[in-house]
Amino acid sequence: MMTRTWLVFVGLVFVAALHLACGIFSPAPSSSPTHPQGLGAGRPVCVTCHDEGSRGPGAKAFGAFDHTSAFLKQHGGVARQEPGVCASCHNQSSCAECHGGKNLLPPSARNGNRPDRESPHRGNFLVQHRFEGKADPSACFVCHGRANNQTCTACHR
Amino acid sequence: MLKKWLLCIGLMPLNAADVDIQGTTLGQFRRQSIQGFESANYASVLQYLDLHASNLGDEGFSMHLSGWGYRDLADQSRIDGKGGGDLISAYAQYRFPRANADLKLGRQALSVGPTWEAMDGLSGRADLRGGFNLAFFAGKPVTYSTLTGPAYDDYRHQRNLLAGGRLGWQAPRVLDLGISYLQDGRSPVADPLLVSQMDYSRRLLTGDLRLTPVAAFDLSGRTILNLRDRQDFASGVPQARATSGISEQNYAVTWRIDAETSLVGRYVSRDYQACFAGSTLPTLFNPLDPDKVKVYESIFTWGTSRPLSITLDYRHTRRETYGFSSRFGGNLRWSHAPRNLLTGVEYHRFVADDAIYFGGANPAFGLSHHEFRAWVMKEQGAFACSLDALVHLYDDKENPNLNGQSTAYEFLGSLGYRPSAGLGVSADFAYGANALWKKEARALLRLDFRFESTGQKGSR
Repeated sequence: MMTRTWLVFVGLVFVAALHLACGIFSPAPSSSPTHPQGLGAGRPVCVTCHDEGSRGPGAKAFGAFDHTSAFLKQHGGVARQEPGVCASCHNQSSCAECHGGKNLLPPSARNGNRPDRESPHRGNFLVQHRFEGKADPSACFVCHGRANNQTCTACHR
Repeated sequence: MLKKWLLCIGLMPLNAADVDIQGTTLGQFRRQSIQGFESANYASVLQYLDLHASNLGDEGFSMHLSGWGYRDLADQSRIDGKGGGDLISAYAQYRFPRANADLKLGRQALSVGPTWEAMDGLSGRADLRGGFNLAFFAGKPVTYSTLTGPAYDDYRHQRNLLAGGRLGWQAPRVLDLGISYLQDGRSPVADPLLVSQMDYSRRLLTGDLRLTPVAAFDLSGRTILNLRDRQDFASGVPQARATSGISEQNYAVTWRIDAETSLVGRYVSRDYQACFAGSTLPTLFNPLDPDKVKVYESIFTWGTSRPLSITLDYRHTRRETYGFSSRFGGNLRWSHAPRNLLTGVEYHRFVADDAIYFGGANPAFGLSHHEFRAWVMKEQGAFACSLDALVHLYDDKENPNLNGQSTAYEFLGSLGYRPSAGLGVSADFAYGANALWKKEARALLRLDFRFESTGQKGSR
């Protein structure tokens, strides 16, 4: 009898918790998983279609997603806050081209036919990294501090 | 590796409603001549593959798989063997029809708060009432490491858990605030006497924000706090070192002056002891290094959506133990749509304090240099070609890193043919010389293919 009472109690608590949990979710419909219209070639510039004065996803203006040179240097912040916006065009392997835990080719070599892309580690970066690394090794740490550093150990033991 | 791939492919219901298969096959050939050594010849075959199946019985259910593998056919090109690969992601996803909610189960890349990790586990996110949103993850980290033997065992032992999440709040269209937590590993060390004596676990707390009072202006950034005091084994007995503290502050102000013009100002500061927590390469990223760096950066862009665009940038870095360095310059891009022509030129100047050189004939050497780049791309029907030239001119030829070479260059040309949207072949050829390679010639053959059972709207 005691066990049955406990089971009923636990069941009621579970149903109440489930109801409460469901109630905390936003009722708004999810946004489209892909961009509703096809994007042309080249860098996406949102403000060519969307009004610059209007606000886009989240607390951001559409212009915040324009793929300018500045955006390439600070896209991580947007990606963390609005992962769904990135996922509407990019899948995870697209991120891994540069940020993979293990990379075979630098992005500039893999996409050698696309010089318009501002790929990192272009040309003789093996020499250049001695200059960049001296100035600030913490800039390298993001990608090479804990993964993708097997090649580094050939010299840095 | 092959077994993992076959298993994952076997689990994917390829008869699903929507299937997207993308791949790139590369044949790479490289010849390097190094001063004082025999020339090396490399020939490798590489395969990148992405499989995505969606609408699996339910509109929100999908499965995703991506990875790569390679095989050397001549000299060994990588330090970890003549063949190998990586499973980047293999996960099932369910997107709920409401609240932008989704769940992912399997191997996946995480980008939540301070976390950029590969994980085998479960993650999810959802919008909540009142402007809140929640993201969480829990699982086992995918360990990539240069460590071997007992040290690698210890590394895997310590990194036995990856868990955390982010709670965000958005004031409609104005403010986005978030606080996130990362727990990476639970055990400090498997055995205090173990040879590695490294502490790889991390506990990070991050606050992030984006303030957009008007559409033309936003302030965004984050502060990362390292909560963990590192175990120090220098005395033979584990002792806590006070390495907790602010690891990084990274803030940017963006002013979109008009639709074509924007100005970005950025400030970054990092404390190496806190920032390098969990490093697997302490010779480069030493978690005991009490160094600090501050970076000030500014980027001006004009012509965002015009055929002609200009970007000017300036970055000033001040590292406590080394000194200052500045990098400034700009690039100009020009697109001529009627002729399917896209071209660009870039120039940057790097000015820096001399680096101290212990044990050399000269007590210091210079790092300052010029960087020039010019490139062009042209499409004509199904054909495409591109040229890319990059030159570095170094001020101090006596810099021991330059082996007496004050100039480095690389020229890269590519020719491609795309008979259909889903198929393309191209060939790249690069030739260059620098302080490390007396001469380097590289050739790369590329086959891109994509099959979609239904057209995806976004370009992936």
